[in-house]
Amino acid sequence: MEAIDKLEDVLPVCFDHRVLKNYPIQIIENRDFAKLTGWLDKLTAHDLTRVDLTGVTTIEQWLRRLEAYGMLVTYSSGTTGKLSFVPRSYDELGPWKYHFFSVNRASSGVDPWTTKLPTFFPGYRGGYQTMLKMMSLFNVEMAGGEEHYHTLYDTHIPADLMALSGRLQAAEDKGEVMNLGLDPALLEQRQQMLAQGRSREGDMEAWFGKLIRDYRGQGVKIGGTFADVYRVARAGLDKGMTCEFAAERRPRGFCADTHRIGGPQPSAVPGAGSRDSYH
Amino acid sequence: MTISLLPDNPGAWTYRRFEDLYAIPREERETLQLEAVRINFAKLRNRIPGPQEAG
Repeated sequence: MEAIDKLEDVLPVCFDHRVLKNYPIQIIENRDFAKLTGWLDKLTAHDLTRVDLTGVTTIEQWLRRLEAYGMLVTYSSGTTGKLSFVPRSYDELGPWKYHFFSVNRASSGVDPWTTKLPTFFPGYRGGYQTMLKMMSLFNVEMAGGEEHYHTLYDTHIPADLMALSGRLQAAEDKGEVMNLGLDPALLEQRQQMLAQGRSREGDMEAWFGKLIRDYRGQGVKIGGTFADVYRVARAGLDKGMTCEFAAERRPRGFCADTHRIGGPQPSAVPGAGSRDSYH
Repeated sequence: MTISLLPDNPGAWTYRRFEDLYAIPREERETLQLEAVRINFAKLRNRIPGPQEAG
C-alpha cells in the first residue's frame, strides 16, 4: 500500500483477527517470553524491545510487566484453543474509556459519568482477559468504586491455564499431566478452578440472593455475558425469586418493568455481549 | 458541520457526545474519516512490520 485514496483502501493494512494469535504455540509451551515479546513487537508502533523481562516465567507476569511499561495487552477467551493477544497501550485508554462510557449511556440511558450504580457481574474479577480487564478499567469506576462492584468470584482464571487448557485436558485424558513439566502451583490452581466450576450454580444462587436482599430498593446495574446473565435469570425464575430494585433508576433490561429476575430486553443490559465482542 | 473535529487526533472524537457525533452529515463525516486515515497511515506505515513478517 502506497496511498489511501478512499476509506476502503485502508482495509488491506488492517490486521485480520487471526494475526493476533499467529505466534507459534511452542513459544507458550516453552514460556519463551523474549520470543513472545518479539512477536508482539511486530504488531504495535510501540518499541517493546526495551521491556524488562527479567524473572518473567508466566503469561500473567509477562502481561503485568508489559502494563508497567505502558502497554494494555489483553487476551481473548481462547475458544479456538489459542489465545489472541491484543496490543493496546495506555495511549488508547482515554478514547477507549470515553467510548465505553458512551456506549453504556446509549444502551441504558444512565450517564456513568454522573450516576454511579452498584454493579453485579456474575463472573470473575481481575486479570487480563479482555472483558475482565475492561471491567476493571471501566466498570469499577462506573459502579462508584471497588466496594460497589460485585463479582461472583474475586479471582480469575490465570492466562497460563487458559493458554494451555486444551493441552492440559488432552494430557489429563491420557493421565500425563505431570509429564508437561508445569509449575505444580499452576496445576493446583487448575484443580481449584475445576472445583469452582462444579460449585458454580450454588455459588451463583447464594451470591445473587444476597445481592437481591442487600440492594432492595436501590438502583443497580447487572451485566455480563449473555450466558451468565441468562443463567442467573433462569435460576431465579425457577425458584420464584423476585427483585425489588429501585424503579426510577433501573437501566433498561434486567429486572426492568416486571420486577422479576429476567425482565425483558436482556440485550440492553450494559456490558452484556458475547466474549468475542470484547476483543 | 455541527461540531468541529480535527482529523489528526480521531481518538479525541470519542470525548464528544455521541448525539453530536451522529449528527454530523455523512459526507462531512466520511471526508473527516478519510483524512484521519490518511494521516494515521502516513504516520504509522513504516513503524509496524505487520503480519507478513509476524509469526
